[in-house]
Amino acid sequence: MQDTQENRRLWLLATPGLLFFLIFFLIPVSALFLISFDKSSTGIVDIRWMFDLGNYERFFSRAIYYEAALRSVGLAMLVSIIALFLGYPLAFLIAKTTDPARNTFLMILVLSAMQLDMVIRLFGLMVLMGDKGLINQAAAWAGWTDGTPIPLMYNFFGVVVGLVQFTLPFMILSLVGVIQGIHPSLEEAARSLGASRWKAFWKVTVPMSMPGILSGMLLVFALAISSYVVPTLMGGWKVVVLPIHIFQQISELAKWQFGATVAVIMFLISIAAMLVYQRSASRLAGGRI
Amino acid sequence: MSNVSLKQLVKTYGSTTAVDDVSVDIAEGEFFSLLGPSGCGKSTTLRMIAGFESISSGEIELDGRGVSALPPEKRDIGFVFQNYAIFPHMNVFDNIAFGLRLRKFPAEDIKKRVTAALEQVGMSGLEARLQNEMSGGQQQRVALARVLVTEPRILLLDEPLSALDKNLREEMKFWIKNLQSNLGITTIYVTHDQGEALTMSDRIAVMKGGKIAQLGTPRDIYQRPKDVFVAKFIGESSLLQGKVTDASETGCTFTAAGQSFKAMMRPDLKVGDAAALVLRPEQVLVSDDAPGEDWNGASGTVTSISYQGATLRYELAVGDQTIISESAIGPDTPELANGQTVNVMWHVDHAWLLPV
Ligand SMILES: Nc1ncnc2c1ncn2[C@@H]1O[C@H](COP(=O)(O)OP(=O)(O)OP(=O)(O)O)[C@@H](O)[C@H]1O
Ligand SMILES: [Mg+2]
Repeated sequence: MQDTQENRRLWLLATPGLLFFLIFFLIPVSALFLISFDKSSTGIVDIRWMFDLGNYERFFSRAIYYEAALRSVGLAMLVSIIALFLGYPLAFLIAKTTDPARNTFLMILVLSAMQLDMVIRLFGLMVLMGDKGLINQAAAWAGWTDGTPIPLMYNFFGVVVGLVQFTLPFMILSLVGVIQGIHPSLEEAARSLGASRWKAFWKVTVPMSMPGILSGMLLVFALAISSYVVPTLMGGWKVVVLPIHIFQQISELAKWQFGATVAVIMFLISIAAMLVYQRSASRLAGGRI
Repeated sequence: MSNVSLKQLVKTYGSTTAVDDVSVDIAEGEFFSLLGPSGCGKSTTLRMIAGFESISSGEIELDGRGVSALPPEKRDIGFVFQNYAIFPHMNVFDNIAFGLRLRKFPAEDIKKRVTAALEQVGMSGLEARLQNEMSGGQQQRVALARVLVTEPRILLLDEPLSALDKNLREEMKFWIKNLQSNLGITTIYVTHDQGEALTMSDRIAVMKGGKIAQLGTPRDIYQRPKDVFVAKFIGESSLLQGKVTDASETGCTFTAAGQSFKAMMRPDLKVGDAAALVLRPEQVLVSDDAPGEDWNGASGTVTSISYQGATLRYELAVGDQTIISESAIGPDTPELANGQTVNVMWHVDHAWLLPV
């Protein structure tokens, strides 16, 4: 009886969060899902309780849409891999810094990168990477270019840089905790069993960081695939990804139903990525997750 | 030739000195314990031998060769950690095979050796277990198998029993000791438990504040402690405070609580020095009879009696000091009562003095 009472109290505490989730997440997403099956008609926003697969047929029959989907997935995967390779050494450094003052300093550095609004950070990137930006000016000044700017922005490269800049702190934060949780005696045990520093790292530290690696990659994937601001500002509308289509359909063409369809497809891709993550995480962790 | 030599070993962390001028030679096949209270530098010493910690000054020699320049993987040492450090992402088989795979043994051979090692530690058939599916004792055995399968020159154990419950600790104590003497592997064992050190070791170094307070066999350390710290740390003892009043070639006279006793002399004491007599409870007898030759007798009063199952324990007031006596309960154990005056007796061979 004690148990059910404990349980009831827990449920009570969780109620505000549950309600918030229900009202502000579950209902809008369900509505989106329902609308995506309505017949596409300009200007109509209501749920009309239809079941019409026309929007989905349209999506998968037109190259500009399914190619955008593939581009989005490719971009998100690439960004999650780059963020991992840049983030892991940094996270490792932070995790292994035992001096508390230095540790706090490094953590603040990472967190402060997340403080400024994305739009403001991207304008900062433009100052650096634009055609008349600092990099191009420096290159011209050094005589490496004949004055024609290197195209650093308004292309795929620019979007990748922008997304990595945006997601790197998230990757680092998911890794630091996991790496810190690996007891130093495990690496020491590997060392005294005959492993070099490098071998111990690959055979113990990396596999033991796998939960952090996978959750970091998933987080970065989800952030990258759903980002609208970065592809528009850094890609100059030239790198067309799913969020750009969603925005165009809804706010420019007022085709809510088709916009909803694209959004649902993007959502399903993220869910699929999550399932892949779950399975590989559990396999790599030897059934511990 | 000694197997492990520590030469004026020092380790400092900033302004704290964790290990302070430790020198000791450990023989081939010896079971050597580092014993001492928390923070006395036992683990640091062991970790320097393993190569996990750098040396501030001094040298460590293994088989006569200095190893300070060698990384841990080149020292051929087996280290068993307090938390066992079983790799959680590998099963028992892969944990034990880890060192063999690094040494590029053929798969056939690895299988044979891992199976033999598991048998040796009584864990046959548990190859597929993961770390979180094993009890502390089982993890302990896997940790030992993982180390022994690589046939290291030296085995280092850092408080390997401290995480186990009392019964298992008792059992593992004898089991490890047996395994060690069967293999004849040089072993350095860190513990803060004097019982473990006494039963398992060939020799013990009692440490205090980074220094070796006393080095000797368990018997030496128990019966001939060098100072009050060692006497109090190892076993239980009553200290009878007094003064050396006379000395001859064979012994001395020690005066305490207004009575005189025969005691063994030690070179660092002279007539007139204050000293304390160490009396182990089981070496003190209580009786109505007068003491025989070579026995000391003091007149005391029983102030407390407690029944311990196998033994009876008395607290005895001798003058204004207290002596504890504990003796096995036998058929002719006398019935004593609180307040009764008795003879408190101990043999001259057990009359060991400490400088105070
Ligand atoms: N990495 C370190 N940095 C600073 N001081 C340390 C470090 N490691 C150990 N010390 C200090 O060195 C001293 C000896 O530590 P050590 O771990 O060797 O003690 P120990 O005898 O093993 O104790 P315990 O029984 O508690 O394990 C302690 O005072 C400890 O605080
Ligand atoms: Mg220790």
